[in-house]
Amino acid sequence: MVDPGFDIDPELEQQLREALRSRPAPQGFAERLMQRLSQTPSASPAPARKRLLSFPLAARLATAATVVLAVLVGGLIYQHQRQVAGQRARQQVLLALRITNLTLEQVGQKLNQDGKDAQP
Amino acid sequence: MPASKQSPAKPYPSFEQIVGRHQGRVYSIALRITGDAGTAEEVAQDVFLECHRSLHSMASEEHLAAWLYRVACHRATDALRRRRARGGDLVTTFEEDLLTPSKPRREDSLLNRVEQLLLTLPEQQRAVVLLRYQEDLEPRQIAETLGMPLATVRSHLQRGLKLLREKAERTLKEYTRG
Repeated sequence: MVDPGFDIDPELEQQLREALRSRPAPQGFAERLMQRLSQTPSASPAPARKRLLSFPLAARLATAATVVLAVLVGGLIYQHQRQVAGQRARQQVLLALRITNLTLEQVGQKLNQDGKDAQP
Repeated sequence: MPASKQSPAKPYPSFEQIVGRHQGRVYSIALRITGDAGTAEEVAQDVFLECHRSLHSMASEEHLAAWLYRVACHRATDALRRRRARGGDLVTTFEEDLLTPSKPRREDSLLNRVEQLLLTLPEQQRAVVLLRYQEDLEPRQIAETLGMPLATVRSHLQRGLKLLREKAERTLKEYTRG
């Protein structure tokens, strides 16, 4: 909508159209642009997904297999360490029980001996 | 040999073709906003480099053209502001020179002086007037290109033309008389 108080000057508009015709770019503009483009390292950083897909399939499979193998080996090592620690704890408990049993036997024997000695 | 089938989709131009088709317009926008040929070339090259990076997101050539004009206007305005911040405002120099009737620049043609008067407009009015009369865009298209409300575009256009007419009356009459 045109402002009612504003009348467009057709002469000025025509002068503007003529004066504002596109000018040609300076000579060698495109060549300089292409040169700059060739010097620009990696014009746009590829998105992560695009970068991943740019790897060959074999490389992607090998990476995935390595990761799975590392997880499996790590799990096995952890499980083995837990088993060893459990066995060591059980042996310690058995040893303690054995010592306790031996001590109780010795005390019992001593008590029996004292009882016999006390009889007339 | 059978005739090759015509592809229904219009083939997308190569980057070199895009540069060939639009370099003059992008350069002209940058030149008429910054008022300096060196800065304008730098801005236009930056616009095309950015275009190269964004080519994959351009839906059509019309979209591409609108994108080029928008980015050219914004980059040129940014360059102008940076130059002003550094204290090198060519526009002020232009304006002072143009509005001094005692120093008419006879070597300039009338159209050159109209073109130079454009440089004395405020940034946004300048961009709107430029897209209207250089690119022959309708106010609605200018609004879409610059991301402005249509009413704002019309207002800038009216104020810009009014200012230009006032300045033209003061300077061009002196010029034609002189």
